[in-house]
Amino acid sequence: MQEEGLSMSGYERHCVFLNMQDGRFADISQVSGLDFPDDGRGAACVDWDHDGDVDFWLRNRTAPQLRYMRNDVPTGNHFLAIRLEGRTCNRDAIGARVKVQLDGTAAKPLIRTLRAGEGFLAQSSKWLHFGLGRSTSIEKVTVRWPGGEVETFTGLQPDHQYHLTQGTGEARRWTRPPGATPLAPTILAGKPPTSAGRTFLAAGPLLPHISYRDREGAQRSLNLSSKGPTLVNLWASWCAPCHREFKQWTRHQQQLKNTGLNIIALGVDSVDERKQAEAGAAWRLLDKLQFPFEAGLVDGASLDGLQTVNDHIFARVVPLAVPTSFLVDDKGRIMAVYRGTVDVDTLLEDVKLLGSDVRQRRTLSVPFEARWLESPQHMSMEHLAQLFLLRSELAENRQRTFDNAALYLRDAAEHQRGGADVYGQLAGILRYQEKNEEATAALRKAVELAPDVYKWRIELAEALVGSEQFAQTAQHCNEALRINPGSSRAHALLGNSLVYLQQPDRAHRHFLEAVRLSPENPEWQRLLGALLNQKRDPAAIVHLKKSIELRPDNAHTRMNLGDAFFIGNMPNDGIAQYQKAIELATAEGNVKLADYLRGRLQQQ
Amino acid sequence: MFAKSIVGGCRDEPEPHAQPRVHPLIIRQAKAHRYWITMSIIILLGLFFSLRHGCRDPESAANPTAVAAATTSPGEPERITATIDGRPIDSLFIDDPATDGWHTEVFNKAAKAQLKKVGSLLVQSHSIDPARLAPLLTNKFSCSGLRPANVQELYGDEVLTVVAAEDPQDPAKGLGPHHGAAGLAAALGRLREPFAGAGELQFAIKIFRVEEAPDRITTRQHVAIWTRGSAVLCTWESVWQTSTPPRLHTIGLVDYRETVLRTPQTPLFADCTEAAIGGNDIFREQVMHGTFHWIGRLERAHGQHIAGYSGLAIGDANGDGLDDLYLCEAGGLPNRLFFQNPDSTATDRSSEAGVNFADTTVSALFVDLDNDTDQDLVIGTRAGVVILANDGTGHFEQASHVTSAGMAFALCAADYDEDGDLDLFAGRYNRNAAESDRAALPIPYYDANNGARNFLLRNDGDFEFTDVTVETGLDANNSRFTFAAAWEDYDNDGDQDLYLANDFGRNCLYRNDGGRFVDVAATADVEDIASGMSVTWGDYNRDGLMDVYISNMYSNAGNRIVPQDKFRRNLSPFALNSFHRLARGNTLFANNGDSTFTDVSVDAGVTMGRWAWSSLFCDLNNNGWDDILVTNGNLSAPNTKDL
Repeated sequence: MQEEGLSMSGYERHCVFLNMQDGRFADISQVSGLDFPDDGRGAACVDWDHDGDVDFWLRNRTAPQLRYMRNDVPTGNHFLAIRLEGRTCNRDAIGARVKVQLDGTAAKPLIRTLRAGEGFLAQSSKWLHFGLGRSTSIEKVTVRWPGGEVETFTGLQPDHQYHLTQGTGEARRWTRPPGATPLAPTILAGKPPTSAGRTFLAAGPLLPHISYRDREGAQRSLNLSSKGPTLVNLWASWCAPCHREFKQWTRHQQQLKNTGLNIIALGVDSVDERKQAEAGAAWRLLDKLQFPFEAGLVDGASLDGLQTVNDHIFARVVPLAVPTSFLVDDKGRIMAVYRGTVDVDTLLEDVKLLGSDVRQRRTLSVPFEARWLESPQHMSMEHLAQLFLLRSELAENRQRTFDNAALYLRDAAEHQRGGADVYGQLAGILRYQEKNEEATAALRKAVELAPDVYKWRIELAEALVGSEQFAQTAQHCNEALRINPGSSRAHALLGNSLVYLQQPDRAHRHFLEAVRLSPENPEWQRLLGALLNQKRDPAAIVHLKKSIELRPDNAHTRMNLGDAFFIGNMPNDGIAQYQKAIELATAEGNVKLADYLRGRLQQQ
Repeated sequence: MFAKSIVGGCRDEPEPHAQPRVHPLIIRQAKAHRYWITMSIIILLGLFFSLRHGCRDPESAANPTAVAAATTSPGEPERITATIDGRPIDSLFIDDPATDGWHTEVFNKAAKAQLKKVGSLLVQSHSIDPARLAPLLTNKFSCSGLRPANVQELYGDEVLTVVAAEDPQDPAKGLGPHHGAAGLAAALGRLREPFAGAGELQFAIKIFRVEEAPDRITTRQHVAIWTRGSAVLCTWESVWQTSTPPRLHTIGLVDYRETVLRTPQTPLFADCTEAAIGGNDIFREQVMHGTFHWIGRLERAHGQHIAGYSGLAIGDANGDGLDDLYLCEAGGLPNRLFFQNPDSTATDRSSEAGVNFADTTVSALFVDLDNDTDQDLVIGTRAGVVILANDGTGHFEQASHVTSAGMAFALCAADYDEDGDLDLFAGRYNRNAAESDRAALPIPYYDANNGARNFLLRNDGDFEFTDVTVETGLDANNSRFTFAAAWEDYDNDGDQDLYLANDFGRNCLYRNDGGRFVDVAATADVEDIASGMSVTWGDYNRDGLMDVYISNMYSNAGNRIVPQDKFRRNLSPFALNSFHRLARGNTLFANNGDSTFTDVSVDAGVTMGRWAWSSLFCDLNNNGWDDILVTNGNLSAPNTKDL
């Protein structure tokens, strides 16, 4: 993706089309001197140096962000420049139409309108610039002021600038202030991007879950609470700059410890399988340095977490490299990122800044003096959680990505007044992690915040069925049906809870409705069939057969159909279905179900 | 995984030399994006986007009693997936042309590599060794003359000449056919003639058509050869033998145009940026760094965004008669106000002027909103449209703030109601302005009207502005992902009409009927259903009527793919036409004078503006005829490998 640093329609050159005066244009880009491969955005024209031709200021996405392109077109053509001032119309005379009638030629008049804002993201000068070609005299200039009043000005000479003021009928010559010196052209190449250095964050997220092996090889989790500020450093035994900063930190260990700062150096050596044999090198090196701070060998999942967090903090994806350090406050929030080495003085200063309020932090987070309109903005923890979910698909340690997603969703819920979606997504993760009680609580919160959102109602209902709270399930299903009467899922779920609430007739109605709404859903067909079995209604067979047609390999449905055959006095068919069910259950590894079915089969 | 990437990279000051391994997800997405964007967004036109939530089927229950609890065993935590026509978006990507059946795209790559070899031989030397060309050619290779003898002057003035060949492929007029490697070497040698004595040549090639037949493939390509002061732009048609790598069987010249400056050593425009503003500290510290630098260092939460949508405005901020420059910046970087000095240099006074806002700013306007003769400043920021009153000396104070109009790309002013003061139009793009990098999907793609709402703000004096969008009728087609807007009296009835360039669909032309607006884009024939990015008005043909030029995207890939049967299958004529239109590029509408316009883009030769952003009519050579500047280029990154 582009954020990784790949181009997309990049390095395209600006185009210049020359009017050939016959309705056609010639592409003269390559000889124009304007065909930079910049990513151009805004372009504004202005006779900046007042020499009688139109120059450009160009605004680029790429470096340099600005280019002043002076017009050096070697023509002998004449010009006329006009600046308008309205009196009864708006003072800028925006919207005025100026017509220049040249003298003694059959030339068609030249027209221009004064506009404010044109092109893309740009405003050009309010000087109206007319090229006059070889014409050496101007018959008249007509201005149609905004509002419709038409005024004619005469006596204008080519190659001059004039102010025309509404109602005066007089064109006043304007001359540039003295002092002009020709500017020297240069070949300007923007600076290449670098991410190395310190970034103090205005709105840093929590540090993701980090685990590492200690010297004894024991797996540990980094637990920052109650520890005070911590510098989490990534390093490698083969990384010379890492050694340099370790030496410096070691020399100044007392100063650093006096501030209350903890340091944990996390070696990445063990992450690369090819170098795993050399993992001992990291410890030997720390011993040699007599490194006085905590250390460990970090795992890949933790680095993935840090990378994901990094990719959310910055809009450009910068792969983590060593050394990289994160300054984390005592609440576990990342306050600064150091890409490359960080010296002791910087650390000492930054630790002092940890108590800054959000406004101070914002000031610290930008490289220049500035003022702000907005109040400090937080980073969306919900989006960070979603990034983790997105990446869970390919993660080696999926549980970890879900843990991290849950971490940031909880943070969003607690500190960013997270809405129902935050709780709903959190519940999704918790259910997946089989933390059902917490999931139900989160869904209750989602429903409380958004009582009219079907999705959270139905999910809450499902969660409640799981914990066999059937009355509440029924209540939320009814609410879900109020919001979305066409939901077969809500009907089915409601029917299901009604079965448990010993209301088979009402359950029957809802199953029928579910099947009517979604006849192709095998589960609804099965549920209806199973209920009909309970009522010893032979119609069960139709629905269960339909279910099997839609989903042939479901052991439960086979069992239900077997029951239906037994009820309908077709024991041979029943036995066949049971055998099939046992086969399927065994294949699925559902021993309990298989044993149960065998038992039932014995009874038959 | 990412984690592995770290082992390759060690950071040393000042810049790390990391060679990261890339996450497989990212590779897949990168491939997807390559075609998703460069073939453009095009592929999706005519198809319907819908956001759907992944659906989970309830699974069988664990309880083997008669009626089991229908618990849904929770699936994966859900994520939203976008679908088009019910298919996941992923299925529409051409991840890898080699496996996705787009042989012609694979061929394009191979053929381009071969043509680049021809090009590099061409630029290297005047006399090309046929032996080096031979491996690129079939045994029976032939080509027409590549620089026709019968060139005629299309245009000439004291600055430059443009010559062209009318029908270069006519063998009676051309010099060919040439045979074999020696023949091609001779033809290429002749192609170099306009550059005799010139410095280093440059060569660029873009294949824009690939036609597949059982035994051969035919391509058409734009070829550009240039050096300082002269350029040849031509189109070649080639028949290829489909070997690996492909070999050229023929080259035929389809069209040919040559532009030569009369004084080739003097470029028409000179880059004087450094001389003008290089004296400011922030020139090196801020201006000389591009978006890619800042988005890696400043937080996304500030509004840093890869697209780099920030503009500029020219106006006389301090009333000294000289135009000054306001530079808009992405969040975290202060906007800059450069006051022009009499010697044409400019000095940053943004802090003293009170306008060094670090909020994400996309657009700005200098206009006198209270008719007191000084230039007030309007800025379009993430926090809304902010109006700053000028105290007459170039110091600004916030006077008004329209918080609901965040991220107004298209900021422009006019007195639409002719009451003597300037009103503001704020055209906006994406609805999700607060999280500007998480764009909502345009729905439907070809005709989206679910972008951010545009605003017309009536000036009620004393810097009070009223949202009159609805009461003036401007709420029709009001959320069409507007990138640009410009006022003009297109029907010469004296009042100000408004044209909007919109992304993902049709543009708007609002006719002003006494202060009420009607969108007449359809009847005026200026809908221009494409990816509008910019609008500029001018009387390019000097008939007294204002014509309009719109920036869109030109796509070689789109032009290659759209004509093919494989692509055309199952698409309606409307959709096909739209695809063609989308890939075509910029549009010039000539004003007919009867409230309608004619699309003259192709005949006028102004379509190929690449991924165009700004376009401006302006008279570059003072001859009284408006020329056009187009700035373009979407995302250039340190890795030049294009997606």
